[in-house]
Amino acid sequence: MTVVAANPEPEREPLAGWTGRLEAAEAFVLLLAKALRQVHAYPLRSQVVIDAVNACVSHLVVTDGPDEISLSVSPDTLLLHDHPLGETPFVRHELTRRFRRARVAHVRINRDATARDLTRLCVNLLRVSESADRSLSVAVLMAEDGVEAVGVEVTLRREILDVGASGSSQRDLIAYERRRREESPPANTRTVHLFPPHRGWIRLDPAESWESITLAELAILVEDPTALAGILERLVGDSAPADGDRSLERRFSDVSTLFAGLEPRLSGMMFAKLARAVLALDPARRQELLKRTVLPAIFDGRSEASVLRAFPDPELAEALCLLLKVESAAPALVASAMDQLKLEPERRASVLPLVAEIIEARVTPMLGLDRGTELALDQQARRLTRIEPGERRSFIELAGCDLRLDDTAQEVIASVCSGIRDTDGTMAEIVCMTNLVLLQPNPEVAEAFVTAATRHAAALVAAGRWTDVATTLEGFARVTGLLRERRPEVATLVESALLTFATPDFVAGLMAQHRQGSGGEAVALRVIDAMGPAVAPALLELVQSDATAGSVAVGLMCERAPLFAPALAGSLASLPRDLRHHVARVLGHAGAGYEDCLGAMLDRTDERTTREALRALSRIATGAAAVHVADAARHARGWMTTAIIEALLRFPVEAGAPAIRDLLAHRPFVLANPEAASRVIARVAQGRVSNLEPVLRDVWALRFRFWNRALVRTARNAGALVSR
Amino acid sequence: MTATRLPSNSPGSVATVAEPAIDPLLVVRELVSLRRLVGLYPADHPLIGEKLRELDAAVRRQLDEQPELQVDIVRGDVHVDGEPFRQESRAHAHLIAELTELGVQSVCIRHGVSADELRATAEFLWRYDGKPGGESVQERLQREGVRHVSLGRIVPLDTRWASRKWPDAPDGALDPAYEEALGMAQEAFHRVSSGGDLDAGAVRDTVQLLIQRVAGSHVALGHVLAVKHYENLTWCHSVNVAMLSLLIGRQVRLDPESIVSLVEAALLHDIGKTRVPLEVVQKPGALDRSERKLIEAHATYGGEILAGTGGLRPLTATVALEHHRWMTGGGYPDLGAGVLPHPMSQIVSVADVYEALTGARSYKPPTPPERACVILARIAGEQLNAALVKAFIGTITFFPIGSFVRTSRDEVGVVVRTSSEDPLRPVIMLLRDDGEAVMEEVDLAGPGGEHRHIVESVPAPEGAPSLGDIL
Ligand SMILES: [Fe+2]
Ligand SMILES: [Fe+2]
Repeated sequence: MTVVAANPEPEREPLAGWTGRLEAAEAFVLLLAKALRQVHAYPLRSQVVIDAVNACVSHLVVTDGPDEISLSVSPDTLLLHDHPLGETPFVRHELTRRFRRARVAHVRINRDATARDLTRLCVNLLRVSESADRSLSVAVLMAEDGVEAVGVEVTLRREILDVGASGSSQRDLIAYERRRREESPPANTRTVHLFPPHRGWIRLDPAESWESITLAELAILVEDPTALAGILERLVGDSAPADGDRSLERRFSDVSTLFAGLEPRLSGMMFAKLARAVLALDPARRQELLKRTVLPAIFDGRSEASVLRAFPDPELAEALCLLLKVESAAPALVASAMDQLKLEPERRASVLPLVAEIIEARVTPMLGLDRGTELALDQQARRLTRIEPGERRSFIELAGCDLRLDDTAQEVIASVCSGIRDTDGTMAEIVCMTNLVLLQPNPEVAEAFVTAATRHAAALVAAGRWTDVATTLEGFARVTGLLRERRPEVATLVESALLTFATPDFVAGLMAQHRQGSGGEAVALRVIDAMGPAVAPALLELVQSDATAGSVAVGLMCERAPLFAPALAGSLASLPRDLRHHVARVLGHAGAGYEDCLGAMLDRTDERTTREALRALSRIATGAAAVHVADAARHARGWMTTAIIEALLRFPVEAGAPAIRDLLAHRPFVLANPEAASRVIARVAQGRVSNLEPVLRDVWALRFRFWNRALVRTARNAGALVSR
Repeated sequence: MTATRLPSNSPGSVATVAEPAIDPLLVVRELVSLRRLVGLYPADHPLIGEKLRELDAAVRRQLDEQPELQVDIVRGDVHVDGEPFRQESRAHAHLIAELTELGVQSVCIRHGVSADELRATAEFLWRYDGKPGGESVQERLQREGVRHVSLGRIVPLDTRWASRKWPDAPDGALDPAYEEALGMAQEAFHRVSSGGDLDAGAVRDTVQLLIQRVAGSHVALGHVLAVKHYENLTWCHSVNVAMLSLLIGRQVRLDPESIVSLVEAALLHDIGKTRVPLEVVQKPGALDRSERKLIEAHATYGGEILAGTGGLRPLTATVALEHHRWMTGGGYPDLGAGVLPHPMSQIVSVADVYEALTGARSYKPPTPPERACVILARIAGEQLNAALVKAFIGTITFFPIGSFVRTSRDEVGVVVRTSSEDPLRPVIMLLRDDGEAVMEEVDLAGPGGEHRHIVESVPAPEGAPSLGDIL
């Protein structure tokens, strides 16, 4: 994918290889226009879009001719090597017009372009041509999508730069600068374009006689360095209007380069202006600029540092002291920086005491120096301030770098060595490939890495290296999470790679290592977390085939119940009967929200599931859960009634009491199960439940049914509670 | 400066978007017609009054919603408020010709303009001879009371820049093994950049050559460690980084197997640059967003190339992918928060930064080793592993072997031996004033050395013997 600005005037080319095949090219252009229309009108996954794009692809495949179709965009038609194509209203409207609106000058479609490549072309073309955001570029979007088989060149936007009226002094300076360059052209240089050519145009007063303006002259004409930075930003073409006020920071190096190229005295003047602009920034921004751009330039001789010479003494001292906030830098670094800046002895003499003052006041306590170091520092500061005329640069700056390999450094080095020695080759390759997948926008390229990483991971599984398997699958899951929004195509790829592991054999292995103990449990949970609910079917299959491994699997699902419950609840209807009680257990661990689902599982004909569901409901322990249990009691008999009563008694009083009250109000239940009713009456009295008395009185009214002694006992219990 | 951009003027709005109700060029057309009328008819002629009213009305309609209207003609193309205006017609062509003939390629009318100002502008344009020189048009218009109209001439911005040209590779006599390694690396890189596959066998051979022969040669070390007065291309940089990584690896006592992996990874760390156009790699100034992305992509490209090549060591691709990532999680590519570079990548990063600093670039001279060390120390902790930086500087010392240095007695010498115990006081070989013959060896840390110390490193003097002869 080339992101190159096209020359506005395309060169004429012969009909390279297309002679006699123009009809094929014409047909392709028509198909592309149709595809674009479908992409515009229908969702990308719809069949019409897929068909339309595939028609383009198959046309590219069957057509013989050159390896690529290379189209230039003219105002109202497309040109295949100067031969007009697509001169129908349909192509003009659907394709040519959009190319032009998206400022596409040239598009090159390789014959091996895939459906995705062409779809991305359509999508990006539509996006840019319909957007008011001028900074969007089809070329950049295609590059971001990782498309290489379709190359797009966009026309440069011309920037008309108003430099304002020039004064006579500026005119003199420019004349002087031009003379200087003519008289002594720089030797041993190569000419390069510092900024994209043909892009910038300068608006001058008509009385000015200049035929063109060089970058150096532009620097002279634009008085204000911040304005100059803004202009340079427009020339580079990626100014986001919202943060336009940061252009000075972003273009600082370019502004410095231009100023440094001027005649030394003039250069000094311009840097003085730049210094004023820097000092006018708010303190946080100034510090950031100094730290990121200006100070680093001191030591490797780049021009950005020149601005410091134009700082007033206190600000210079302040700036230099910023050097000290970095690990291994010592105070002598400041002295070295002054050497690099070639400060005159008098300036050094006036700046050094200020530096020493700042070091003492602020930096010393910050570095946490002890008394001894402080004294040494003091000595050093005094040494720095002693200026001897004619003294040469000394290497004291280097002695200032703290290069001692102390214990901490030795430890770090030892860990570097062991880190390298102990790196496992397979894991290194897997991590690298996973990272490559994370960075790769093109799913077709990413697929190769996904496949390779999956193959490596399968080898780890075969070797029983479960900790590494866990790390690998966690990496996959991380990529899926990070890419789901940004690059759903690649995310889907990785997701399906993860799913290939969700087999009964894999989970059987995982459970086996879980049973071995020694951290196996934690590893199994990591794997389960990475794979997510998609592993559930494999786990359930294992539960059916292997009771021992199955119970471990159910235990794991219970531990990660919130992860599995939604899927399990959803698929309950289709699950085999012998798995339902396991599902009930997991749902019980998932907590509130699954009461209805569990309530529906209470079934007289399936004792195992019912008992598990009752346990689950009492574990959930909400009022809603108690209602389900109590409701089931109304039609229950035998073992189920007992189980329900036990479940009800397991509920906390507050959650269970209202449901019990309602159950007691259901006279058929009390009549059929007086003993059970008796057990729950005691319970309900413990809770502060409203409207209980009328219910108890109703039960008490049964005390005369003397032929049923159990019922009489229950009624008397109710009576005792009422009288209390 | 034009600030307003009218979306309705965007190119290609012809087919679907509704035509703008006002033709933005109408104002300038009317102004030019008025110019003709004021020239041909007496001042009170009704035609003038009528045209002026039309012009004034057009201006008012146009400036109703925007602070100014600017029409520029660049190379014959009309731009309205900075945007290309693509509706071509005979009237427009005529207008362009007329304005260009006058030496005016830009007209800007600002909100608040009066009919009098428009008339004065038209009169000025009639009188104006279009010749450059003399008093500025702006001042002349202002004298006539015109404050809301400005005229301009448009000239191209010449973006060429003379940047310093350095040789592409080291010249002079090189250590033969080092030269051989350079040749092998050049071939391997060339193969990849011309679309071929990386030859893992050739890579292994180069790594063995570096470990077994080049690393043992003081001359070769001199070439790698000292300042480089050439803008080294990727293959040369790669060999140097491999050598420097080897030095660090030995200094931290890495086991021999790991050293082989380290050298291989360092040698190939920048292989991804073969996919980045050379003009972007060497560009001295302002990279735009896509160029910057392209440069930064070299790490990912490298990882991809190496991960897809069989027969390489497992960490080689990782190092290529990570060598621009920082200890604090910054740098590129973005692998997510909290992902630290592998220790092997950390070693290669130190070597890489030092090598890049001591080489020349079109926008900066090479940084001498002692200053490169100061820079490494500065970025240690944030970008680089501080302990590795210390170990590295401890090995190469501030004035590494092969450096030309000046002493406090103003003698020039070549560093022939260094000691990590005393990194500032190596053994140097003094050169005679004519630079040619070697006089004596001085151990600056020994008995003869106490009266001199090194002041700075200097470029090799004219006529100085080659490192091979000295070492
Ligand atoms: Fe690199
Ligand atoms: Fe590099």
